[in-house]
Amino acid sequence: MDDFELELKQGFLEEAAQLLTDVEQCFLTLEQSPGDPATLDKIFRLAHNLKGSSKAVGFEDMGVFAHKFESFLLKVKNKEIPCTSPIVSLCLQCNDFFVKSVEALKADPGAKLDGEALVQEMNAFMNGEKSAEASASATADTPMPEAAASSEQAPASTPEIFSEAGGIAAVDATGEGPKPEEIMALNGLSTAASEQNLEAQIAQETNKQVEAAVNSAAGASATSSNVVPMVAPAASPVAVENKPAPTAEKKVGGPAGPQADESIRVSLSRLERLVNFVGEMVILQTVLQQQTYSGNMMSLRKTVHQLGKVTKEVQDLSMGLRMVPVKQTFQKMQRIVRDTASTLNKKIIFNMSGEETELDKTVLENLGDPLVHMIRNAVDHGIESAELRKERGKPEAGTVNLSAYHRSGKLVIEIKDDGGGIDGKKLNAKAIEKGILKPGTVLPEKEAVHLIFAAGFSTKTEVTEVSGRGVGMDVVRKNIEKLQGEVIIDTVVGQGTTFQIILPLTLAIIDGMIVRVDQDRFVLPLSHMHESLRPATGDVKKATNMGEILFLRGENLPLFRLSALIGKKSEVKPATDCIAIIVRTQATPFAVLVDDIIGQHQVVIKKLGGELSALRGYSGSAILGDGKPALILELPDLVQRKTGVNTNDSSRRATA
Amino acid sequence: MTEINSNVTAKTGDRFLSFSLGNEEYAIPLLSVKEVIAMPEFTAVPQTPPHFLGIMNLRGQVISVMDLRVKFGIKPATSQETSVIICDLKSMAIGVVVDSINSVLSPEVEDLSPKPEIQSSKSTEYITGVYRKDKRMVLFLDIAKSLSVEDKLAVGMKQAA
Repeated sequence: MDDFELELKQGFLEEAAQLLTDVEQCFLTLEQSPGDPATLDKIFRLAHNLKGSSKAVGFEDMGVFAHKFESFLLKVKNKEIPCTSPIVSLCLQCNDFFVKSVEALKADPGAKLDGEALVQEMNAFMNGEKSAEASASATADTPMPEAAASSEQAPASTPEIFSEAGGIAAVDATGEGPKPEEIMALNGLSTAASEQNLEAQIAQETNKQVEAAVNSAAGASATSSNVVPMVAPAASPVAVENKPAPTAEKKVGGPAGPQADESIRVSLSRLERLVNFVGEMVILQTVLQQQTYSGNMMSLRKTVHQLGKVTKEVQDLSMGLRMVPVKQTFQKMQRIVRDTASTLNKKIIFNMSGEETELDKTVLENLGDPLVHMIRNAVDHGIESAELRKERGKPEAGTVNLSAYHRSGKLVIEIKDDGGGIDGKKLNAKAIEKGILKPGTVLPEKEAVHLIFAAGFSTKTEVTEVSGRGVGMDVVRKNIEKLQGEVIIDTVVGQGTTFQIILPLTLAIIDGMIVRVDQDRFVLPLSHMHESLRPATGDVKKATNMGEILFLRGENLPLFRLSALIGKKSEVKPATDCIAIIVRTQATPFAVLVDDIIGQHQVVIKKLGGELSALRGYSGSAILGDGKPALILELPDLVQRKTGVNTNDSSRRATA
Repeated sequence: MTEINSNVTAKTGDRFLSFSLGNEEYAIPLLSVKEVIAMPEFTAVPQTPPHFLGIMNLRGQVISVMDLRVKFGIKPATSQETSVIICDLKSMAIGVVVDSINSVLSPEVEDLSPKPEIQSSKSTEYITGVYRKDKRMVLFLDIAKSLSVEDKLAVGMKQAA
């Protein structure tokens, strides 16, 4: 395969992945408003696109399957098959198959796909539904399966393709175990047959005379009504025999080969603005170069100022390139809710808001798994059974809300359900039973709620398909911790639970306050700082057993000296010569004394090497204006290490 | 790239960069050396062992700098040639301060000998071999062993304490 072709294929696969998420969304809409013609049209168009382009770039297997899928959709669209929940489920399964195929093909462009089981199921629907419904419109397409069946009886009189299709039935009828090569062969044959079928079917749609034509194809067999009963037995063994197919399909999807370089969609206008600013920057650089010779300080300063502005723009814009709307991830959740709810037989109303909120791509990618767990939990553990809900005087259908919004420079993702809430007392008892807590321990209600994050903790007594292994929330916490986020739980027993995931917008650049202690400079993330002030005389008192205390507007805050926190030995300056920085990100606020504030800058976070990974309290380093690196401090961690007291009252915060 | 060396009695043709620490001469595999720079400015990191000098800015990359002399307890020579060798170890880049850079060695097999068995309280695991030619003696170092493994512990221990 030459490079061009490979590139073409990769391009297609990316496009296909995009298309498929769109399609999935449509199916879910379809389920809510069955038979909506606009949605059906859209799905049909997308499927058609997929078929066309997959064949164009040479993914024959996928094209063939898409073709079959398309013909199935056509029937749904023309209301020949009622658009019911099982049909939508099948469509979603087909969609999953496409998604898997795309993944498999990404790993290995030559991967073989086997969607036979789904094809058979679609066939079964196309046949089965028809025989069940003896409506006038249904009779129009009965001849198709007949033809396949009848070919068994009179192979000589039917077209070649159909006799091949008959062969499938024959093989299956003998009851031999399906050997892999047979399945492959069957696959090829039946898809060929189905292609013929579709053509026949399209012909029907366009041409009124088809009925006669197909009847002649049915040829030797007697009347249509006679044949119909034979179709079902012929079709069902086919479906059964091909059961092994899904496992084969899984194998295809399984091996995740070397990942191709990822890509991101960026709006053209954004890119153009970026290019414009870069252009301006280049010009300014030239100007600057010239001015270094002229020695005019005033104009030099002006240019530097201008350059600073442009650089800021470029920075903002290029950071913006990494931002993607949370929409796609949210849409996946809709599917999760649907599947989980149907497995558990619950009625769930799922609402989303703020899908347009943008988030760094890496952050978003790592958010997927935690969200899935939390949404599943909300549906499984959160929402009570219908009976219990009635008893509690709630509407039968539970509500799960998923929303995203910005709050003070951070992104908040909220999962809210109106279910049973989390009973802290129960959790406490369970934790003791499981040996997570020592017998006799009674945690405050709010703290006990956080037990759900403990590894191996599950309130379910039985492991079900959906949950109960006690791994989920543990994973959630780990993932969110990795993203430097936190989870806040707000729950009222009997009324519902709200989970808030609070995340930084990006992990690469932060607003930092540069402070000085002796001659060393440190960066404090601005998001940690609540305020800074110079203590007045008498505001700081020292108690031998408690350390220093800062009086602030009627509050008594513990006061730490940064030099002591980082283990520096320096002379103790009077507090009035220093600046106190108040940190309120935790449940317990505290103040930290630094010598001076140098300024506020946006800093690019540089990770520290692995040799320093064991060091706590430093989240990274940043290179300052003079080219020297400075450490970025995590004040809460430093204080915690110093005092051994967790300022994160753990009932409020799950993560560090 | 740490694996490159370990076995010093390897094939001929392997090359080593030799440098001085005080009056002693050491060498590390040339392939683990990324570059050699003059002594930069660095920022101290609190709560690290004494030989951990701090972090430096190498063209936008933040790199930890260690002083091998302090680590080995060798008295620094008063040298104008103090340099930093940027070593490319498997998972990280580390700067190592040495007194001076001497030469690149391409030892013949007969010049190499295993390290002498010496009863010492200090672990000499990081010395992988000895090179002798005329009156000159060079010790081959496994830089990863001499620094990072133990240091990770040291830094970690400090935390626990």
